[in-house]
Amino acid sequence: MIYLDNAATTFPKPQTVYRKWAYAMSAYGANPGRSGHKFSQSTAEAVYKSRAKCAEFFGAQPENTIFTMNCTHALNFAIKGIAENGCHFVTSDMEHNAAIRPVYAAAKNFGGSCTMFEASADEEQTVYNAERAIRSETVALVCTAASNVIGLRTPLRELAALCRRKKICFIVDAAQGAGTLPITLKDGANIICAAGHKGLYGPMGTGLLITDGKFPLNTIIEGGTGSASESIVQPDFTPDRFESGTINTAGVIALGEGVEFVLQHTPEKILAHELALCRRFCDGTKKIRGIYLYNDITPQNSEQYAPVVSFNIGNVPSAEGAAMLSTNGFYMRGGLHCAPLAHKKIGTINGGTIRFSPSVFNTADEVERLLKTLERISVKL
Amino acid sequence: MTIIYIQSFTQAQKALSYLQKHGIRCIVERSFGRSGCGFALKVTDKNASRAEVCALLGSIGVSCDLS
Repeated sequence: MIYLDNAATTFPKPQTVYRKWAYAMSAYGANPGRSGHKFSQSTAEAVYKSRAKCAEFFGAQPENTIFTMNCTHALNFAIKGIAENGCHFVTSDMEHNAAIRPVYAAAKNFGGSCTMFEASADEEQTVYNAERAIRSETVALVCTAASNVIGLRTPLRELAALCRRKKICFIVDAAQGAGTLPITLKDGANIICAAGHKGLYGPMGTGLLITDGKFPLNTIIEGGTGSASESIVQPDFTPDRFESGTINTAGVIALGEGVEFVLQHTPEKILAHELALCRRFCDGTKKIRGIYLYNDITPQNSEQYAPVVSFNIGNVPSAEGAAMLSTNGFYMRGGLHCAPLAHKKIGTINGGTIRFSPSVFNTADEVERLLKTLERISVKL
Repeated sequence: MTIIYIQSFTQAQKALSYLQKHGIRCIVERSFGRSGCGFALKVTDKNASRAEVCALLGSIGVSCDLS
């Protein structure tokens, strides 16, 4: 089996993550931050250690580093938390449903609206388009760090500067960028929403909401936090405010190991490795009749992309193409990848695409084997 | 012994880490006080005054006001 569906979730995880998760299941089995006994205390300390590691990674304070179930969960907290009556959101036309659905729901529930701007390969044009979409009632610009369909990166620093100038909140969907692209609070985002189980190599069921604290968020879930329990009102301090109920303790402790793995290998080196695999894939497929690429990553344009390539095999619907590859031992995802806007943009809304998304664990040899398989399949078409 | 009551475990642990970096011995315990369920940062270092501890904690945004 050659797994190339890392944009959905990375697999395998580093051995340190597996070991930590298994260890945490038994060694940190008490409810953290709830009881006063040593078992609960040591579990809470292990959770804090992971929180501090994640905070360091994103340039945040530990208390502003909130564990969530996934990136979607974090985006819902951020988007619905900042919504107010008559509010207006600005998003790009490359967003994942994880961002666009909560934006539309929040706008509807609060009698507000949303304007979508066109993200372009030309960064200046993207910023210009975003600025034109901002209105006096705009509360936030919600933007993906990189398209999960064609990997196109958005100019985060420039958009952050725009949001600062306009005094609106900049919410970054870092599902496809955290762990490879430079996404920290120091780069200008006010809120970063990240999946723990993708580029950070943590377990599924983990995510992060990172905030600089400049834009207070209302809660969308309330409940027990183990703190300020005398009050029936949700605490106003973080992370407790957004961590009601028992957290995925073993998951978040193992996530800390994933982040440590990324820090040790460095996001820059991981990105360089994955982009090199994408370039080889793109270069190789161009020589195969019937393979259609929707984003061509080359040495000249690598900086514009996250390591994701969308393609199709002739006129074969993407789900069927992915199934053919699965039969041959290559695991990739076909379909719309929960991002219909991006597919409308590239003209694949009806059939979707097959997505090639390597991780740090994939090798050049695996890409060569995939290319040979695609060559064999395309001859039969 | 100086005891600082802190509502959040994360803040208490952040305070503990910071004080320990400054060579001040302390522990975090679960507490139930005037402000309900929370955490007590117990400074066991006899050489550290409350004023010194609170000044250090203030620099990282941890308040001694609940105490």
